[in-house]
Amino acid sequence: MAAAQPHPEVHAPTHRESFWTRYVFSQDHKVIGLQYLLTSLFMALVGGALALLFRTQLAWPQVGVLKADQYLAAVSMHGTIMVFFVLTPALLGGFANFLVPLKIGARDMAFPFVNMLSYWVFALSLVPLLASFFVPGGPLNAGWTAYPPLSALPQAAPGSGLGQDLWLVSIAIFCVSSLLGSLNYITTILVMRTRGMSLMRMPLTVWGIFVAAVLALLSFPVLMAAGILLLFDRLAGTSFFVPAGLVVGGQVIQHTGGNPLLWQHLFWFLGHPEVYIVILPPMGIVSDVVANFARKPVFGYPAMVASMLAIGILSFLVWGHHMFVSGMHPLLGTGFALTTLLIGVPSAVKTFNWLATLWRGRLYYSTAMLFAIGFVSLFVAGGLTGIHLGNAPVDIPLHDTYYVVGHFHLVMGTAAVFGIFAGIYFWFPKMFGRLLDERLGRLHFWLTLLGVYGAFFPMYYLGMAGMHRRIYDYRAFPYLSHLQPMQVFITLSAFLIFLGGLVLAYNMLRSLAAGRPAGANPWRGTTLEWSTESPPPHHNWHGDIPEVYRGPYEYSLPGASQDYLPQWEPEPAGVRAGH
Amino acid sequence: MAVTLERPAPPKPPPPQGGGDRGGGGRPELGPPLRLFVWLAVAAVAMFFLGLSSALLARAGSAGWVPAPRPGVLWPGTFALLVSSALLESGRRALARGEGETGANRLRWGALLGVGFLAGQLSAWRWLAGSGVGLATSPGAAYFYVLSGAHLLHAAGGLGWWLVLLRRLRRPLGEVGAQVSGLAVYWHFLAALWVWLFVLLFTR
Repeated sequence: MAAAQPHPEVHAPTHRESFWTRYVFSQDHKVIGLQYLLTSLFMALVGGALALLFRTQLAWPQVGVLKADQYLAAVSMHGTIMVFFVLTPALLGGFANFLVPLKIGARDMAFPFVNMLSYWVFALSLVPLLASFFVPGGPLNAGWTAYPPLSALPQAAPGSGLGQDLWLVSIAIFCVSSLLGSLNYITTILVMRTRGMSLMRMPLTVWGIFVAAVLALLSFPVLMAAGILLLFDRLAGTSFFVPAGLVVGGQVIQHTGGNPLLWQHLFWFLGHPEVYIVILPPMGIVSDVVANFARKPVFGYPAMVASMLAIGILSFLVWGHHMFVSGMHPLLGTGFALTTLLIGVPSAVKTFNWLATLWRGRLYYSTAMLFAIGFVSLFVAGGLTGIHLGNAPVDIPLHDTYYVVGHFHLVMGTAAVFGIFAGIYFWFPKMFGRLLDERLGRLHFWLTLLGVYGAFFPMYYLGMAGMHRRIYDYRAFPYLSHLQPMQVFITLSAFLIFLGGLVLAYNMLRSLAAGRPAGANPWRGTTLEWSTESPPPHHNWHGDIPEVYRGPYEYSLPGASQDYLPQWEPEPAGVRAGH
Repeated sequence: MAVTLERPAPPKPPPPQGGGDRGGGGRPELGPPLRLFVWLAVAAVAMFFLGLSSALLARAGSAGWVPAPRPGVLWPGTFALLVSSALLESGRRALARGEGETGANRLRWGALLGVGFLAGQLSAWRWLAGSGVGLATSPGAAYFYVLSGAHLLHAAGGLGWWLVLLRRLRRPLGEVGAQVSGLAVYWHFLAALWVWLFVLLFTR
């Protein structure tokens, strides 16, 4: 193997760190990435446990595991935690922090202090969120979308009191953390790349993180603005979202002139890009993993980049499809339906390109590869029903039913989770210097895959049968009562997913203690993170940062002595690599 | 050229592209990271106020809209903000030309006028409250308090940064120059934003 070609630069600084500056208030992007990732995994346990609770209620409503308000609180907090405190921070905090500087050839983020601040602001946002479990009335009842007037009037439901206030404060703090992170990722990617790392040589994981960070930068402030207005409605008696004439508990409320639909517009202006914030980084991760274990370049790299950009732009133009039943003008609805169907085109381009990358590759079914292929499968199984729901006439009867729940859990919920798992199995050796156990990994994969399909695929049927997503006890509706066996099956599948998660946790702990040493490049990868030791030192490379000579996926080159040519190696004689 | 799933014949590779001479900091054409950081922060703040502005526009276009009374002190306050922005720009340019003392003086006067703007905003709130106009009195009043308050907080943050920079002006210019440029971008944006909010709040 040829030596990396250094270029003139300042060598990695050497310094001493205390325990606190190294592991707690660290400004090292890798430590911050792991802090984000581990916090997210902990929150996944909390969100998953909530799901098991309300699924148990749905499977056996006669037992009454939860009271009605506890059920609504569990559903609302499950959604909030999974979207804002698991998927977003794991991907746009954990993987983004750990991978971006390593993959673009930078010592660290552009602003390490701001980076540390973003994690601790995120940690701070968890305090009011988790505290809301212990206040009178419990956590919010209004769903993760917190629609007013339920969320605006403290007397509307048990969780509409202090629990709702704490939710809003938590989300506002989370928005600040997300903005600090996004500012850093975009600046770092644009300004800190090493010599030779042009934009079109960046790994697709970096592209996914970059586009997601731009979306977060432009959409989270709008949610924050809406949250502040809602807090004023709740605490100061303003009427931004609360209309006149509402009667709650036999009392006419004092608010006048507000518009609850305004919240929906502002919320979904963030809410829909948020879907892509959590799916674009996994799209990149899956591309990296599939290319590596198929030993082929990603098919149509420029199209993959272009489709990410197209998805990013279109994601700001589709929010109205969440509001087809709000009484919007049919022409406006048609516009939103059109943009929604349009966003299926770049999504289909990506799916086609993953399949084409797999086609006739020398496939190695590592756990990371299994999860990557699982991601593609779930993205298709959930994405196709998005075409149905994007059409207003189809969406109207299916709105707020389990059809929608099945759709988004498959296409962005579990697909993103599969992307995270693929990333964990792929980069765990780089993070900790040890390989995860592959046998346990496969067990984790099959438990999760079967659980996911068992839990969410039948929901399409439930939705078409008329099962509303927020029904506490469906036995009150004769046309839903006979569906109980299906509810039991879904709940048992959910337990299977949770069991899979425990297998992962065990595998991580076991491998940390006694996993096989990974070495610098266990997967024979081509991108820059594999050029340094595992785990990488502070400031990532001893000596000079490597220079980049080619694109990120140079596998199976004709005439080469090995089946990959890393980005950091000069071209050997007789081999011609692409861009 | 036929499309194939097989690896196509690779084109002749170009020499390494882009890159800077610092390794891991290599995009000099984009300027220092701080400037880009500030521009991105401005984009985020703009989106925040776009959300609030669109809410106001939607509310003002529906029945029952009552605008807030306009406190007279807003006029001199707005003038102070615009002049502070001009002085900051002029000071920044003077510093770039190496006229350290002139630049520092303009920055000091600009900061003082910035403080004047903040005082004017607080005075406007006092005047409104004294006239019996509270947050929940009318839709226009609610939007005035929220929008001007949010702008005030952003301006206070900018002014804090400005005051820190005034203390640092004795350091080598290169170190402070990038920060002054970043501050100028942020403060000009806040000035333009206030003009937009002023028009929006009182012409509906």
